Amino acid sequence: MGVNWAQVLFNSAVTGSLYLIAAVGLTLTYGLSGFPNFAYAEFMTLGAYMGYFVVRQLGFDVYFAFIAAFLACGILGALAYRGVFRFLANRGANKIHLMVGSIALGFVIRYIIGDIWGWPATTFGIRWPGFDIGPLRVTDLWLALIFTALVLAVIMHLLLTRTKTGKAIRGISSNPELALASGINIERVTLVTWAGGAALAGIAGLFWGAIASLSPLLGWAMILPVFAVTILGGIGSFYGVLAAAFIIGLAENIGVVALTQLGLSTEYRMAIAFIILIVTLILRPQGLAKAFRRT
Amino acid sequence: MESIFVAEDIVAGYEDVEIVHNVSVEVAGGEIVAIIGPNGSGKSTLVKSLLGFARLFHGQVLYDGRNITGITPDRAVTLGINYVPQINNVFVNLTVAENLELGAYTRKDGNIKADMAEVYRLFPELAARKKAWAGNLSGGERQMLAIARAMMTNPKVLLLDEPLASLAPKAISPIFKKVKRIRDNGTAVVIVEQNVKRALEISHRCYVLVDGRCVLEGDSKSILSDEDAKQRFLGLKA
Repeated sequence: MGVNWAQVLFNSAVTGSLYLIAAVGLTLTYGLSGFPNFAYAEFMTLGAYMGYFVVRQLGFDVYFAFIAAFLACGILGALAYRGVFRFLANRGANKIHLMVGSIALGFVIRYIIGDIWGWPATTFGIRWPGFDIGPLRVTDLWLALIFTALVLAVIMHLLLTRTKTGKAIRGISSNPELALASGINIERVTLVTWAGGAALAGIAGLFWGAIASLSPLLGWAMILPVFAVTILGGIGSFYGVLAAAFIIGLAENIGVVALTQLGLSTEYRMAIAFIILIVTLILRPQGLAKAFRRT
Repeated sequence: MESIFVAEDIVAGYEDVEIVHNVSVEVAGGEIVAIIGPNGSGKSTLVKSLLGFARLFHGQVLYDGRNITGITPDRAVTLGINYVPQINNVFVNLTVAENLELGAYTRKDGNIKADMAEVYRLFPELAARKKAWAGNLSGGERQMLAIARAMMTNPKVLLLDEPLASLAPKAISPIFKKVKRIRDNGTAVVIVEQNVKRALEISHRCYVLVDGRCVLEGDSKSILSDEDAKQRFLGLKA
């Protein structure tokens, strides 16, 4: 059976774009606050359900779903930081406590979502017909996803290198004590990053909900590859994540071809990100970040 | 001379441990004051506690006549007190120019560009490497960048925590020259230093700490010529 490698590359770009949007906030908040926020999975899930709410229940256009997911998840991220993590940290919680707290918060949000919208998998009820561009089979949704990731990459680059807040994010991530000694308002910068990161997680969840289906476990199913991207990229590094998202996207899609050729189930696709995660932790636990220097 | 920065009867440490016991230090504008003493004598803890980087158990901190006891590090910067840590004192994954920009983070006036040019005039070594990653600088350049970053707020008080530690001997005197230039511009400089001889040479006055207590204070020149004090407190041979 011949393999359409152009299609494999295109699919990799789609997967990589999704991972990029999903991992930016995770890596930046991990870098600033020093612990992995597992409730990030549920930020993605909420984004998807905001899409369901706006499109299916309110009957609005899908464009409004993006605005709703961005805002709802941004507010959730800010509340999670202020109401849970900073609250716990001020009472002496260490990084491990915060990580466990994030798992607990994730459970709470997941079950609330399950209670409101039900547990069975569902869809937005929108069809995205495929059409051909040269050798590629594409949909508007996939193209929109790639376009969103490209715009995000440009905006993030400008934010991190041209704005005061962006440089402060890199500064705090690199050296929190010196950031404090420079008079940087760590609290405000961290809050903005949590809100922005969660808003992006919501967009990623919404895309995934639109491409596949959604259930309260959507975020939980996505969090492993998103963590793999974060760790391969080097925690706190946007440029590392930019590279890692597309590396893992490519590995997964080539993996799917290989699995198909070998006559194995493509369900093993999940294992690919996991294997990359383990190999990274063994060979290069600091990730790719050093290759880029910048955050 | 009127002291701009005064610390009275400071008791400081970390968590529940008191490291510094009842030490008083003061510095005037245009003056360099050295805090010297062996490793673990509490020099750094003393300075850190004044700005909220270590725990202040007791004592009073005055700046320009105002009581600023218990101030947080970021507030101190906006008032005009800047601190350069001993280690990790640059943002390694930012460029030289970006380090200076973050040094000016608290400023909202429009003179940042002009002041950056001024800092580059004082540190031509850095002007040549604006776009270099701070992590790629040599030890001496790094120390200069650390001081230059602090200068971006035009501080009235500059606290330097062991600026010479881990520097090659030939990198030391260029750093001292810069510190003197900063002093000449009217800034009050407090320098924590283990290199006793160097510290006495550059400073007007000094405080000698041993086991968290001030065992000697006075004019640096006279201590430098007081063989008895040098042997007893500083471990310097006559």
